[in-house]
Amino acid sequence: MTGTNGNGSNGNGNGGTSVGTSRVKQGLAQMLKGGVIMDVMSVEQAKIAEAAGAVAVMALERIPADIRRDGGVARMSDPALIMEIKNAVTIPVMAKARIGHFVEAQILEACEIDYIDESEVLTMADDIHHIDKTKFNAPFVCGCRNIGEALRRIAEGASMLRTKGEAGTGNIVEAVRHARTVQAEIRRLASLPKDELFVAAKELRCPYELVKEVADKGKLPVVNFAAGGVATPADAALMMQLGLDGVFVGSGIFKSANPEARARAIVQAVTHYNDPKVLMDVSTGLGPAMVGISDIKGDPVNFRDREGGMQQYDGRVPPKKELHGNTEVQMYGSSWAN
Amino acid sequence: MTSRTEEGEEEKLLVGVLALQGAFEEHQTCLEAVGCNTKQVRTPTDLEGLDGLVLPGGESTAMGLIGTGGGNGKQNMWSALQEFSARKPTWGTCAGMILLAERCVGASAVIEDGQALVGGMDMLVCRNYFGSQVSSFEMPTKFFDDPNPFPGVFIRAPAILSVNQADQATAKDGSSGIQVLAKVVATPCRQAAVVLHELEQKLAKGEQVVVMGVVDALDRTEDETSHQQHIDFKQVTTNNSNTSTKPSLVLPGAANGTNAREVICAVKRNNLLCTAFHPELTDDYRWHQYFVDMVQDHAKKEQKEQK
Repeated sequence: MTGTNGNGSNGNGNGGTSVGTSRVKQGLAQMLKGGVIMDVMSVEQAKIAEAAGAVAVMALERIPADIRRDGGVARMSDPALIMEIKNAVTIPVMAKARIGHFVEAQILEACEIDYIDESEVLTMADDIHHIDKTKFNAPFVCGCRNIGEALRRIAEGASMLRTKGEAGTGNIVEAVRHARTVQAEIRRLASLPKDELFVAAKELRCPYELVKEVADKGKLPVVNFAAGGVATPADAALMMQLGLDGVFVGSGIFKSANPEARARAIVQAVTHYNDPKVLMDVSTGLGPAMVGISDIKGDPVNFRDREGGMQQYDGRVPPKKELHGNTEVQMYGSSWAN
Repeated sequence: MTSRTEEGEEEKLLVGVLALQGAFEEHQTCLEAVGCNTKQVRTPTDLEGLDGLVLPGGESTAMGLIGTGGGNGKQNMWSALQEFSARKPTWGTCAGMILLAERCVGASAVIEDGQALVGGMDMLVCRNYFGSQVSSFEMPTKFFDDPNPFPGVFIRAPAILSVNQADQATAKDGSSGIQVLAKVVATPCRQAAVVLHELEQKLAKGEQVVVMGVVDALDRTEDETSHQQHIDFKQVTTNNSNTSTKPSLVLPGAANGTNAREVICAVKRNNLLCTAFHPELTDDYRWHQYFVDMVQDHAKKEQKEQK
């Protein structure tokens, strides 16, 4: 499936053509702003998503809710599925690679995927290092809980960010926490005197240059989407009003009773996020949303705290639930436990 | 660049940016940098009082679906946009350019009649001509006679395959007819190559295939040559009524014996401006200034007519 149009073949006869520049990679994310990116597991679902007005689809073998429920090692999707979906829709197609698994990313780039999500929802392949994303022509999106994590990912070459939320729960609380945390930290950096930014960078464990850029501009250098727990049009509009640039919806659509209607409603809600009348209209009569998980603290699966080089077992083991072996929270601790 | 400062600051132009989806904030930043007030446009009422409108880059399919109601359409943005772009300066970049085209080819497996278009510019656009994101590129492009090229940012960009030749011939003083402002030489992606080949075959048979084509992407197989006959190239009449004058269609020829073709990436016709690339992603405001000058001229003309 290698096209006639490989990297760098454009602009024959003209000098100065360059592919894979950060402007081009970040630019696609800018084009997706104000849009909804939907997780799909088949060609049929991809077509439903496109027809509903999705700006991109994420091709997956299992959506996060199923990964949570079934467990097992979650890996990159079969390229056959990705190519099938890529051929079925005209909108950009994204796919997930495991954290640190740069070969999965190489394979996805060979598939001419439009965006790679180095995702905490898949099982980590490297618990210390993330992928060196600067090496790729394909752009990357990564999750973040706070400004330090956001800037670490940008330093590694991410062209787009999203909140981590807690995928597959249908519960927006973590996404809201991450969105507000990042914004509060940006406001704090912007208010610091210049000579305090060096220590701020040290404390945030990320490069000073990026800290300074955020402090100067008062915003992240790349687009930041909401993800992890969006289940209703109201959830999507909430994240937009909180200042995010767009929305990923994973399990929320195809785990609900009426995916077509819900997908269309969420698309409209993201465009008209400031218009409660439109939001009322599109929220009406959608049927049951996904059931979801209300007790994120007590759930044995914790996607959000997966980050390379950041996991420490601090000896505080919370009371054990009915499980076999320690949960990830018990082993690594949680953002809730602090 | 001259008139606006001479007019004084009290009457700033108000330029709207379609904010259904896409990079509308970037356009606002650029337009404000060249001295305009801006406004996000989401509903037909938002169009009131605007001197000009920008249709930004984004996903044209998504914009089309959101704009035409997305299934629960109470407010049809589309007719309002058609009405506005028929009389006021309107600029489409990338996806916005597709929306302003009268005819569009490229794979659209979802919408029965292909991409929902606002129309107005008599040209044939090929969606996603350059391929997927890994083939997106930056390239210096021509900016009128300026020796300083413009940084063209092409992101999953469309290309203009042809403009109405008859219309182009009448363009002398720039007052009417389509003016081609810039071209690039580029290889079409695999899907676009198939579409082009199909078009050429139809043209060789003398068919006028300048109506909207829909290619079901699923009909494509690995081998480019073996499946051309399987392509379901529907002919659908455009929703605009002025299709009585059949334009002659000439596709861009292959350059230097390669697959590369010279395609158009910027055109202007009266009050409409289209660019396939993204000036809003650069800090070079020349295209924005050019459009604002168009808006300024148009506003002046309207004032005179009222007097």
